[in-house]
Amino acid sequence: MKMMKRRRFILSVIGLGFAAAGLQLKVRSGKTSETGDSGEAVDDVYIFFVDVTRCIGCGRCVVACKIENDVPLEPIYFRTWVERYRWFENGRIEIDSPNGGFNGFKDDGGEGVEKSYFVPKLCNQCEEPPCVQVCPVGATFSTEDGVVLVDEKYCIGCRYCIQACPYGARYIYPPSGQVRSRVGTADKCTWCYHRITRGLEPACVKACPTGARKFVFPDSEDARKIRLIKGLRTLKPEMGTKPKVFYRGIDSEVR
Amino acid sequence: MRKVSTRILTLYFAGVIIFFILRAIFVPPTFGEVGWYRAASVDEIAELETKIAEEFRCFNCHPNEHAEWSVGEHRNVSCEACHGLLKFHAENPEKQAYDEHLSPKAFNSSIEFCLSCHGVSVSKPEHFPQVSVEHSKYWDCLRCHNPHDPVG
Repeated sequence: MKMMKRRRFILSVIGLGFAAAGLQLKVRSGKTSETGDSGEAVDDVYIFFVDVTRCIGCGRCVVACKIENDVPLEPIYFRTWVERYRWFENGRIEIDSPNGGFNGFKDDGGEGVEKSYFVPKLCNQCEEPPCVQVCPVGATFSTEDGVVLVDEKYCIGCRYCIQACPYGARYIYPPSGQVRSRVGTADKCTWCYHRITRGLEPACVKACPTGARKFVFPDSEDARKIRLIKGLRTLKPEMGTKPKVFYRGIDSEVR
Repeated sequence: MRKVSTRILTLYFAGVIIFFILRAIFVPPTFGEVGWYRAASVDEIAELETKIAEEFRCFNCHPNEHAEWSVGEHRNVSCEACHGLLKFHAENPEKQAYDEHLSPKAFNSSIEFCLSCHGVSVSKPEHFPQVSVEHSKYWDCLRCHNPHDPVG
């Protein structure tokens, strides 16, 4: 009889535990899906649009981003950077990004180049962010408006998120940076969260002279226009991260 | 047997209470209010100061430049693209009017500065106006072009 009691007690404790876990799971997955499959822009979240057919690789965006967000100027720390893709006639593909495009690109005449363009990269603010999933302390998270942020006061600098990001959008803020509280924590593009929440464009969009970067506010005229553009692509759609940066004019080799 | 079970129960509840005390100490305020993160950090990030002086602030003091720029071929290029973010200048006009890294001053010459966008490259879009150094015959670009209204 006593055995029964104890067993029932243990079972009920275990049962309660499962119920609580289940409830929490339900609350977490209650967040609604906002973006469609890759290449399909929707208009109720912030969206970033990159028109590769306009980018001239001048690197203004990289410089402006570094200044605006106090990103250290050393050539290995970037919140946004520009890559140059070159397809050669012999089938070789070359991708380079000297200093992230900070000083622009030196043209070497383009001998044997069949096709080439610049691809600006930044955080994709994925709808299913792997970086958020792996954070052991809840220091990186998706806000309710769909932007992935890092809580610099709570990040322990374990670098899991840096490994998890398929786009290489994160880095550890070095001691040489100006913001003391950020040193040793993960840092990444926030789409200039402090600007977009005030209704202003991100710094890189502001600095882009050709309009290759466009920031799309929800329910705006641009959001409706972008829906109509055919052939938009996202980076690494096969990862299932559902990125919210949409590219026009890139090939599948761009990853 | 009864004594043992009360002991276990006391231990159990003591453990639960200690857990909640520790939790109250270690979990920061506002953590978990919206999701598994510190809700206050969203506001902290949103409240960061921008370093960009918006165009309307530029044109408060530089109306002539606005007159040229607004009709020229560079009208879709923001002030920031060439002159830098410059909020410190807008707030304190006596201060230096250029940014160290994002301005013509960051380049050795105006030729270099103009070519940073308009230099020839196979990677650039075909329709984008591109010139080589020979085009200028090593003259200063500003001899022929007004950067605010370059072909006007």
